[in-house]
Amino acid sequence: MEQSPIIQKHHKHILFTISMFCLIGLAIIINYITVSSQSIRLDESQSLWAATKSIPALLTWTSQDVHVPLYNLMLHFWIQIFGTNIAVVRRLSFMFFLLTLPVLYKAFRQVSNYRVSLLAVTIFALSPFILWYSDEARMYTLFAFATGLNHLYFIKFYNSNGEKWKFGYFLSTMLGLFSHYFFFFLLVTQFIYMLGIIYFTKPRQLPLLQKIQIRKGLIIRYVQIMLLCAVLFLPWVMFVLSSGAAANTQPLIPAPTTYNIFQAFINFLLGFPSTQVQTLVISLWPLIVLLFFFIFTRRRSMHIKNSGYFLLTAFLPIVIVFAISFIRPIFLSRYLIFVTPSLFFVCAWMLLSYSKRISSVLVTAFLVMMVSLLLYQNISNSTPVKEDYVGVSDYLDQNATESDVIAISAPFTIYPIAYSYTGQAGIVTIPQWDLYNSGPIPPFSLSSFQQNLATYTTEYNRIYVVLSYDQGYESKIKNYMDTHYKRVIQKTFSPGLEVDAYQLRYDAVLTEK
Amino acid sequence: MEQEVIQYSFVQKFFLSLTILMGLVYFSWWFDFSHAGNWLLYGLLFIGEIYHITMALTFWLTIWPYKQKVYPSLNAAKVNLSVAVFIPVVSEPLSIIRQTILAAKGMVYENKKIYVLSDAYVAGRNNWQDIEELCKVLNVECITRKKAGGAKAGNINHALSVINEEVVVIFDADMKPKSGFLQKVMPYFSDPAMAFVQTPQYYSNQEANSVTQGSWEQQNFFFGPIMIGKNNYNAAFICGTNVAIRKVALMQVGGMCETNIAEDFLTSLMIHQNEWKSVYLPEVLATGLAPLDLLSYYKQQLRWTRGSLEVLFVFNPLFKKGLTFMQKIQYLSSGLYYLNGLIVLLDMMIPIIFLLYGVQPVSSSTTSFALFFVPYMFLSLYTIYIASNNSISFKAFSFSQASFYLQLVAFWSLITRQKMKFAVTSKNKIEGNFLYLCYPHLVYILLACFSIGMGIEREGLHPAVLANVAWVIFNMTMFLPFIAASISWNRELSVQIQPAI
Repeated sequence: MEQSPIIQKHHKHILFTISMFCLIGLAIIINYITVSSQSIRLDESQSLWAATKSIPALLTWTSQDVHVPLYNLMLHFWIQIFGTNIAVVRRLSFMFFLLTLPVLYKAFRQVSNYRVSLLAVTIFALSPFILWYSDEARMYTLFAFATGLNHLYFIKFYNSNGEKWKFGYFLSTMLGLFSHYFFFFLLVTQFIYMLGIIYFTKPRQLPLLQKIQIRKGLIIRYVQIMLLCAVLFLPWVMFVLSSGAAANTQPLIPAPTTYNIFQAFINFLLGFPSTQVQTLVISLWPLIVLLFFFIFTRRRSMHIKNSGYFLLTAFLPIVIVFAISFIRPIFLSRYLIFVTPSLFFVCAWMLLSYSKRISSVLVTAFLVMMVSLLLYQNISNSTPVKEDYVGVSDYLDQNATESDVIAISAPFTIYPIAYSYTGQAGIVTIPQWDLYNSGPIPPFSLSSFQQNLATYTTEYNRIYVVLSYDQGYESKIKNYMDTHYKRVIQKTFSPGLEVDAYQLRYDAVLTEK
Repeated sequence: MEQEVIQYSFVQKFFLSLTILMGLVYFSWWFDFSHAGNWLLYGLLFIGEIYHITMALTFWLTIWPYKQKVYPSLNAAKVNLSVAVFIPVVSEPLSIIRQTILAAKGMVYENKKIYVLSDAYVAGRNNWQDIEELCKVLNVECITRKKAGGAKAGNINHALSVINEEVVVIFDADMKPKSGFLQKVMPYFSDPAMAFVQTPQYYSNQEANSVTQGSWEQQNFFFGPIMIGKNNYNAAFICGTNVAIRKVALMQVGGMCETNIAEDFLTSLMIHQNEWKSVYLPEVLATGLAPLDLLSYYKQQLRWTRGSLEVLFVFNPLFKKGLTFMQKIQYLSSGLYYLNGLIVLLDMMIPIIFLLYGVQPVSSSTTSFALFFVPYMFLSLYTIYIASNNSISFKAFSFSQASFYLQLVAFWSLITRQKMKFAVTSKNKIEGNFLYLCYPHLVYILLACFSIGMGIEREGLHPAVLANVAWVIFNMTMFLPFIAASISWNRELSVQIQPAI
């Protein structure tokens, strides 16, 4: 007996939903198996370092850092309950990742049909980029969660002409502002969207003042919310200004090039393949033009409300951040995580805009590609974001003795090593910096380095130089050591993280454990 | 299902301004000559970019959303000019001619007379009298030319010399007018300065096969945003069929131009030179047949290309008196479009040259170029997408791109002064395999595959090699729908032709 079209459609919906849920589950399992046991990373160790402090000290430390305090505060309480084991600490981020999924679905459902919404959420959940940060003890999934919530309430607020959802919009904005400074760029984009809404108010020939009059209610409430948020965020700004930033305690961000823009999109969609693979993929950029031809040729008409909003929030913040980076470099793909919900929504919308047959092929290919790249990213040793500080610590535990010294450069990378190192050798940094006295890291100087080495030579047999996060003087350190001391060991643990051991004295007997 | 109007939409001024700005920013990149690698190739690409930006700017100017012209006196009752309906025929199937005559007779308008203009005799058809018989049966007048010359234009001019009506309406043999055609068109002639009213050339068989689809999709874009845009500048031109022309205006320029195979295009230019007005009405008021096979499409495009290039080089609109500046720009851009083949060839060959010989036209990083190029392309395609009201297809782009070879043939025939005869587009499907029309494209694909191998062999997976490989893939992909259309597929729909009498 043949089923009626309605029942068939219902079955297809159920099948689609089950498929998407299975994929999300599969991605989470893959990620759990392959990533959660990995070494603590630099950023994570800094978060943990801050979270272990008292709340006033935490706030002071964070104010001198480049972040807002909400995540560190949450982590502070989290570790009070669950302890500081990195695998457990990372569960906080994972929790926000899980919470983001229904929030995004709800937000996308405001403007599109169920298939687009579910597919967009699935892309988000399968994204190697998102999954990487869902398992990192940092604020990025909290930031994504705040973004999702803010999208939801902004759309509801806007579609009710500012009459409803004011409180939700206000709260989500505050949550976003205290999650990451880059949330500000989302607000700027929303502001530009509001201006666009006023400008494009129909009928188009109306004078601007009349258009403003039509949108008066929305504008007034929007301005009120923004003012209130600004007032409530101001104390933190004042606190940051009064604390003064600690110089050089964070990795140097280089000025971006056009390559970085492409790289950001590669990261969002493909995660973190090796640098060589990223370069190869970016070199194929002319195919983007071909993609435009496919996007901008006849497709199934699909009604998406507020489509301009999602297009704008997917791309404009990247342009703004890129432009600002010419004044002060701030362009990092993880800071731009807040564009991913909109970007994935646009992807889902495009993928489902063709005939059913073509869309099925495209969606399947896209999702298979994401799962494959997730596996590749998590398993490959050449994944550039992998930082095997635990491997370094284990190695030093086994090899460095009391009569050796460990020198870490850049100095701030002492955090992850201090977290996991339990050996006998003393730890110093190049340039020398006292982790326990918060304050700026002094600039590198070759003469100071030489003086310190002279001291070490009188006290230790070997020096284990741990190099990562090149701050512009790594090659100077290596050159000097290679030309003045005998290198006895060189070992690379993950991309950009290596340990070089040098013999300082020849009157001591070298013994390997 | 037939559509009532042509698909188009107005692009907002904000987006057009942004697109123009981005186009100029992109173009500025080429003026930084520190980017040059090999000077010859850079120079050639630079010329190509001048062409691209010129075409883009004229396109954006064309689709700029002006307020629509309003004709307050559009009232059919006020206009009762006598109308001669011309159906020029040569060798079309009688069944098709019959349907067109019947449709023409069905047009609601009192003061009209239908003339079938037969060139069957001068074309040496043995059955030329069949058309006269058909006309007798259907009770319409048949004017059979006995003296050859001037092709379709000559046929019309001959008829003009024997009729007395004030307005001439022309329908190709396959173009069946709707009953309301004259009711919609004639009111515009209440303006005594109105020379002609053009309506779209709609293909009722557009879904028949890949060729008809591709052909229509190109046509739809032309009769949509482009002609509507040209209309804003009083620069819409006669497209040979589905048009009503005031006889006085036509006679002032000596009738339809017989010296050019794109007679309609040149005649319009001359009429506009005499400061007559024109209107383009984007409403489907007559339906006809698209070329059913690639050979017919090829011949049709070749004729239009050759004719337009001739207008460009022999009757350059820039130097014609009587045209407004914007009319000159519009005629110029219509002619310039057919030079696209030269630029496509250039753009196709540059990556091949790099892959084969390692010679680079540009020395700077390709991603820095992409920063200028990608937003420009994004906005350009977005404006086309909006202007076409989501009706432009990949196939239409493919057919335009793949027409490079026939455009080169037309260009070559022009510079070598070869004569090209006016050929009526076949109304029947010509059976056969037309893959040979795609030999240039297939040769390119073979050459591309070979050069990709050479490039990778020489330099490995170097970013520059991959960027050029991507360009080659882009070019090959653009050709695929055209190549597919050259192969006969079994799932084509048959075109129903009714018995003649």
